[in-house]
Amino acid sequence: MFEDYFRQYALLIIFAAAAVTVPIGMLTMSYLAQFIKVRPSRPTAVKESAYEGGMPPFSSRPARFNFRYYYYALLFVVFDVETVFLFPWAVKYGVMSQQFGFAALGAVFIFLIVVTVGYAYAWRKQALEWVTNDDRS
Amino acid sequence: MTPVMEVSALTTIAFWAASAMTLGFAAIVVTQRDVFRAAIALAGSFLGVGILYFVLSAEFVGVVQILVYVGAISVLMAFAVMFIQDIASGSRPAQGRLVGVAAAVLVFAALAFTAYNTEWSSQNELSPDAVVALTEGYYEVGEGDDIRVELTEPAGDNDVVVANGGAFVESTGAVGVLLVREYMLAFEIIGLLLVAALIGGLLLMRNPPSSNKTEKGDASV
Repeated sequence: MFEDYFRQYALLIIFAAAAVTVPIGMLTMSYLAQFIKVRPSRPTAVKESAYEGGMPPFSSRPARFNFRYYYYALLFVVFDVETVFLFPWAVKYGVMSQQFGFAALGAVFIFLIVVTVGYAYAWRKQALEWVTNDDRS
Repeated sequence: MTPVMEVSALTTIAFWAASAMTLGFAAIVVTQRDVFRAAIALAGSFLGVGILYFVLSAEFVGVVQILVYVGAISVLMAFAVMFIQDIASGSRPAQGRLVGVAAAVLVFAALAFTAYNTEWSSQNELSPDAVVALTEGYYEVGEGDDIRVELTEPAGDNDVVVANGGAFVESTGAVGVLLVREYMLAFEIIGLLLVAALIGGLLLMRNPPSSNKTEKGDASV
């Protein structure tokens, strides 16, 4: 049993290793290529500036963000935690529907309705709006 | 009695690699002066802890660790850092370093004391059947309120038979069944708690203390 458990994660480890190696390898090869005169390296101030949509950047990297982004962060956290509870249910739903029938679906359906009330509240309170009525007036 | 979990070489390597990752990133967190980089490194440290959970075959806890800590908590911290007026100058030297060291030493002492004094071999108190059910899996026969548990697959039965992996290898599914069966009420109350957290968070973020204008805006919604 445990061998199977670790075998499935060995695939994940191989995948993660490839995902890390490919981009780092590309950057390393590009860096090494300048030593064998394949890639010329002539840095200028313009080339080294941060890319900001083609315009000269207005500010350096540590720019302050609008506080309203925090609404989205908060909503994301709440619905992320919701996913945590849906995940184990979804893993076993196939067998649970055989054993308990509609109850396995109903329990999660009620849960989702309750959480959707929170979403509706956020919507109604204009937490999802970027420009609210206060700004227009 | 055979131990519940045999430690293979692969497990040992994974454990040490994940531990090194956790501690290495944690060291970056406390030494890095750029707050944003420290937040990113903290996410890496969380990821290492998540891998440790997977090594301990606590799949569900590992998934929660990655979803909530690496995903959500790191996002919250990154956002909080980006609201800071003056990131460029980095964090100032900590005030009261002595108090901090004392607190860290005390917390470590408490953890080490607990770890040392815990009777870890509690698996030996389980019945042999329970050990088989936890590691090898078990079968549930029947449906609805009438479910019995068997260790071997029953033959010639017309009932619904469900094969379960042991909770030590299939913890996620076991948690899912418990959520819908034994702890269904608690499950629904968690939904309520999430809504309360959402509403509380939104209320805290509204109403900047400067003016009453927002209050009027609320009433007209």
